[in-house]
Amino acid sequence: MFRILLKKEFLVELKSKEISASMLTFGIAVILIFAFSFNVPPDIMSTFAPGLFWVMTLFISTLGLHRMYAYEKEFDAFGFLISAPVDRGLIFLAKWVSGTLYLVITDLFILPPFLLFLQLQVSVSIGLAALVLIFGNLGLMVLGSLVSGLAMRAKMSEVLLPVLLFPLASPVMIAATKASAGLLKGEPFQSWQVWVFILGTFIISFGLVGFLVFDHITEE
Amino acid sequence: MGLLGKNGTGKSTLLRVVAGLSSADGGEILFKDIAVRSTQTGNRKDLLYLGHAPGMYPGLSARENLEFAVRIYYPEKTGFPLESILEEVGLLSQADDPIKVYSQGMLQRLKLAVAKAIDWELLLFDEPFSGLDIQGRKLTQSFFDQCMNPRRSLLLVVHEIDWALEHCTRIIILGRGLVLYDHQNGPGARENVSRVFSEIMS
Repeated sequence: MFRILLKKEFLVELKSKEISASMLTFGIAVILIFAFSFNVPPDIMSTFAPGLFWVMTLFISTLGLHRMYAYEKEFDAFGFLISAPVDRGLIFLAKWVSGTLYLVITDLFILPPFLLFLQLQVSVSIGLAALVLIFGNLGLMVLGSLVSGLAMRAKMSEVLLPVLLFPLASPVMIAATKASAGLLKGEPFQSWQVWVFILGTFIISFGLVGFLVFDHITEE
Repeated sequence: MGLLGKNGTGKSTLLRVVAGLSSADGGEILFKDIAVRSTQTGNRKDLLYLGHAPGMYPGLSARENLEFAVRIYYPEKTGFPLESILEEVGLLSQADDPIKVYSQGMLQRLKLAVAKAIDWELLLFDEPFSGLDIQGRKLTQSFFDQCMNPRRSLLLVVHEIDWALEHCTRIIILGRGLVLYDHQNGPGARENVSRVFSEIMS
């Protein structure tokens, strides 16, 4: 069933390309704003860069999440889906996994212009960078999928989503930023691995919570 | 079973509660002895809810939407006669168009296709005739006639009193937040239904 739900998520996106197009365009626009707003030397910029990157990713994830749930609401496809013999926890998992994949792909596309426009020189382990990127995105999307499920039935859900998500995402933002900063400074993994473990714990805890409570939070 | 009443009396809401989409203020809806709100999904495979909205993805085609609907009910089964069902409801020639370009009547036909494809025991259908042309109405009527068997039950939100009196075995009228009428259809039903309706409309 999970495979069917995941396939549907990808099929809807493949047809509309709304999520990827909006996330990518928004990401580029934010990078340009950052580049024009911060007139500082590259060495100072490199201390801001991890935070800026994750703030940008948080904004992009909000946009993507909104679209992911908006198409469920448009023709009330969600109503049909949750009345069907589908474990609602699996709906949450499919949203989480597909959302994370969109976010990782978007990040990979916008990372080169991010480094270029902010004049950052980086030399990091690809494996560790991928680990931080995937864990950070999984953390943002696990919360985002949960909060979106909660907000989607409300009026003004597009406002409610960031209002609820941003404060709740603070632990993910702090851990992802600290881990990225350690990575960029070239510090050994042991000195910042605690932040990766915090992210891992967060992902597992909220993944389980989401799987178990999604049934109740989608109730009208 | 026909569910009638003025606009805004909660007919669609009641259907959503029965389908397990909305929670009731009190009590519990049981279907096959299991609560529809339960995390057990076994009983829901025999229940099909077709709400007022299409309940499908606007960017996908009729074929893709129908396939998805069938797949979530029967994840293991293959070889569904989707083509013939789409042909029966008159959508085969436009089966690959995204349903966002469909008219209201075509969306109703697609819902009918879903009802034909799934082997439900309880069908909850909100305004099945809404937006349909004469041919579409005949198709829907003919499908309902085929469904008249002891294994299957239909709970339909309808506005046409005459149709309900002609085809439903039980009629329920909602109004003022109450069940104003709930009786088996039969002799004298027309007078009673008309009386209740004239009261709630006045």
